[in-house]
Amino acid sequence: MTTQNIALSFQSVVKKFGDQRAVSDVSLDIRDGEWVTLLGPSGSGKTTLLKILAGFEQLTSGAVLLRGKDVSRLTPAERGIGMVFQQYALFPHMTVAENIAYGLKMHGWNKPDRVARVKEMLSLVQLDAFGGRMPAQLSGGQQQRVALARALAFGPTVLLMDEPLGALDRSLRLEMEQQFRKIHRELRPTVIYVTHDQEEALVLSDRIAILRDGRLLAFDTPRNLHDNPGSALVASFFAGADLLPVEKATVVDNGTEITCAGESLRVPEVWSGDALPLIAVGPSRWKQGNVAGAWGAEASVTDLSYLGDTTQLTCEIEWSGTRSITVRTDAEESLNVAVGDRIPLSLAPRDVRLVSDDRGQ
Amino acid sequence: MIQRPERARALRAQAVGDAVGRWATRIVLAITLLFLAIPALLVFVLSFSSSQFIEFPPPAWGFDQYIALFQSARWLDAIGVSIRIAVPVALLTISIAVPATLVINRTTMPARNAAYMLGVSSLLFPGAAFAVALFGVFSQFGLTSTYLGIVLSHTVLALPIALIVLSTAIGRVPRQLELVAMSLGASRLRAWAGVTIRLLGPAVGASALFAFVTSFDEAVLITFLGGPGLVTVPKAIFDSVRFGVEPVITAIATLTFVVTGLCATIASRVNSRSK
Amino acid sequence: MTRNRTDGRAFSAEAGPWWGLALSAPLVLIAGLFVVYPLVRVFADSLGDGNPFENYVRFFSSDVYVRTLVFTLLLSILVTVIAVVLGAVLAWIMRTTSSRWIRLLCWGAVLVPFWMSVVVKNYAFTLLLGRRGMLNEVLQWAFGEGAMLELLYTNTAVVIGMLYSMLPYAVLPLFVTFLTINPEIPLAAQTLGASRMRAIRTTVLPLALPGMVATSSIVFVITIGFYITPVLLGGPRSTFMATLISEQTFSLFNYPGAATSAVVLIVVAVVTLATAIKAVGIDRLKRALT
Repeated sequence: MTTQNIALSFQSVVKKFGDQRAVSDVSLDIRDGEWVTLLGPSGSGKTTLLKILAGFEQLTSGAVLLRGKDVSRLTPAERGIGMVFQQYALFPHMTVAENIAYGLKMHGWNKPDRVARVKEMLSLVQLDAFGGRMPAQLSGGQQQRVALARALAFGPTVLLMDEPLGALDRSLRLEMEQQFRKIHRELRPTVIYVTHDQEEALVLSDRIAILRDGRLLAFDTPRNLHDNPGSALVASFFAGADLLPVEKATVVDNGTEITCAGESLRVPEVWSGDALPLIAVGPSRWKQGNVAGAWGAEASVTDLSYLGDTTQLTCEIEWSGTRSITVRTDAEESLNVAVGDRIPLSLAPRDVRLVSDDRGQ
Repeated sequence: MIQRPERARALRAQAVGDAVGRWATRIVLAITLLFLAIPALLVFVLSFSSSQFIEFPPPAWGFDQYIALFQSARWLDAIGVSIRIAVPVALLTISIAVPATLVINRTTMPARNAAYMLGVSSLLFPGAAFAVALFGVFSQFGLTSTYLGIVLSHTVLALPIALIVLSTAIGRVPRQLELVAMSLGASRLRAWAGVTIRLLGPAVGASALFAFVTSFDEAVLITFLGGPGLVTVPKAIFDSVRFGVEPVITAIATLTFVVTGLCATIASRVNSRSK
Repeated sequence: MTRNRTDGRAFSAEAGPWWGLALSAPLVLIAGLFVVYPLVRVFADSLGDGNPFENYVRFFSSDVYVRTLVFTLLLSILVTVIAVVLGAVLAWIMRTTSSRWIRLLCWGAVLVPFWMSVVVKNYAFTLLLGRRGMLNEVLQWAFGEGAMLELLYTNTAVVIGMLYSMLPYAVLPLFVTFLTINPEIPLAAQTLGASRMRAIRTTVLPLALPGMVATSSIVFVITIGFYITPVLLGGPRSTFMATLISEQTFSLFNYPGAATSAVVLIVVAVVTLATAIKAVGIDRLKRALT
């Protein structure tokens, strides 16, 4: 990965409001054409990072580089970024075409070029006939598309999106997600997308940066984050895994020997941390029945939800005390399971993930 | 991205312009805030001067002005007159405004918007013209230089504020509550009295306070329609300032200012807490 | 006491029109007697006994009167413009600042003139602007003995005094107007390449314009009626319509003349408001009044 195709980078960015740290030492390198989502609950600092990138907030320390250039002294207008706001922020007194043309006007495009480009953008978002309408006449989804077209019109290096789908209902959101993907494939801008919705992040992103309380927990592709969380917080909040304690962890060749409650299991992962790891088990990793060579446990079912293709069971197992876990199984397999049943569960060594305990920080 | 060097320069120039604009705005803001605050501060500070003349900075500090104020029959009379007018005005205003608000918001009387505009119209009547018009009417009814006349005219002046505050407040009282009360057997009147008006309590209090303050501070009508026995505080100050400047005025001015400010703040606090 | 609704009428959240009539009687009575009737009467009185427009002809052919009228209007326009411009700056800052301190400070400062009676305000200005007033003292301290501004009893003093009273009346409706504007809009404009000033000018100003027109009309209408301020701060040369009216009433005992002058003022007010309503619709005006 050469420096040439780093489109933008956050370097040890810190933002303090008084004594409060909204962003704590965040560093990210984002490649050209990549779609990166900043994922986190409210208060995680994701919107602040976006505002710093756009130029609406000044960082306390650190740097933001666009194509290798430090932009902290530049006004938003000079940074060449496009932005889609949560409430669309369309100009109510201008037509759709005038909205889209606004950025072009500010960048000195002449009239014929503007007209052509507006036509292009309207086609891109499939609103060809809507140029003459006023924003108030459009539905939420249509306004969203105009906002996108407006942001992309003058060809920005980076496109920022601040929870743009928050105000739409579910089916519209899914439709817009597909639209976004299509446009991203066609135009390949670098996108920084902010959301708290994990599903959006999974569908749209090349890589996801998970933020919590202003800190960067992890930055990786959706698959890696899901399969190899690395930290307890990521495992539990992103992958929805249950965390189980471990009494002893000894590294043996090509693996680690985990001991808990007198039983041992050897997992293929090598634990390299100093402290004791936790075991992260995703809900779909537990298998029903007794499997040879795996850890077995007897679970008593306390709750059951039918989800269509799968069934979600909440169970209690004995693991150094009584713990509650979530198990997701094929609906067919758990056809006869009822609340109160005791069912056998197995956990294969390769399905066990070792994660560092960062919950206390 | 299509950015030519001259575009970059133009944007830079814009950025500089922005920075200048930002500082200019800050200066304008500071000057405006100072402008708004200084007159009040000046009067306040001067009221604690113990000098016989108006001097700034005061040569010595003390409560002399306040002592002189409370020993002066003239000023105490004025305060008494003002209160004796302002309190009935406040009460009269809310007894008119509350039913009127109910009309506007809770009945289907066809001309109710017109009624609202009627009540609010005195706000837009140019002060002096209104005073003269009232003078004509008062002369006809023999109300000039009467206590009743002043109370009535102040009430008309205070009505708009009361109507506005109450209208906004009643907009926040859900109609369902009255329906619930009526479905439980209360008559409409009882529903209104027990539920709606009680919920409007803070707003009614706020309106009363605003009406009181409006009457207390009113100077134009009292000049045109008042008379010898009706010297309110503003009228007394007005006369004093015109015909000679006594330092005692700083004390009475500060007092009225502080009292009004307190009333207004209490009124808006009480009102907003009910939201 | 329970009532049985046997008449088949459902409960309605709103009472019928008869309630309305009963409850609004006090309002109608008092406003009718003391707002509408005076209006009508003063109109009638100005027409006089003889030739209906005789008084008006007298008014408009009198140099002094016309000059007073023009003076009043011009000064009021000046005050309105300054108040609305400064008020807009203040209101916008109050709307968009993220600092709680600045917002509180602004609110406090804006409300201060409201708490002072007109006479108190003008009293303070006589203290500030007089020959031996505080302003001159500061100037002398800064620039030496010679620096002195004779501001009291000039038109400037009147403008300053009226501006002081009217700023809050400008800021509050403008603030309400700005509340209806999404603050992300100028930010969006900035990301599209506009400078902050240009963004506000091209995206916020057009949206705020109707509200500003409504506010201006209200400020203007109140300003032309000022009486106390021109008397206390203006001195003999700065005659406002209001001073004229009071002279005619109390010094010259020329009530019909006073009525005429009053009607002229009222007509100006009505024309202003009507134009404003025509331009921006009555809803805007109503919203500005809250």
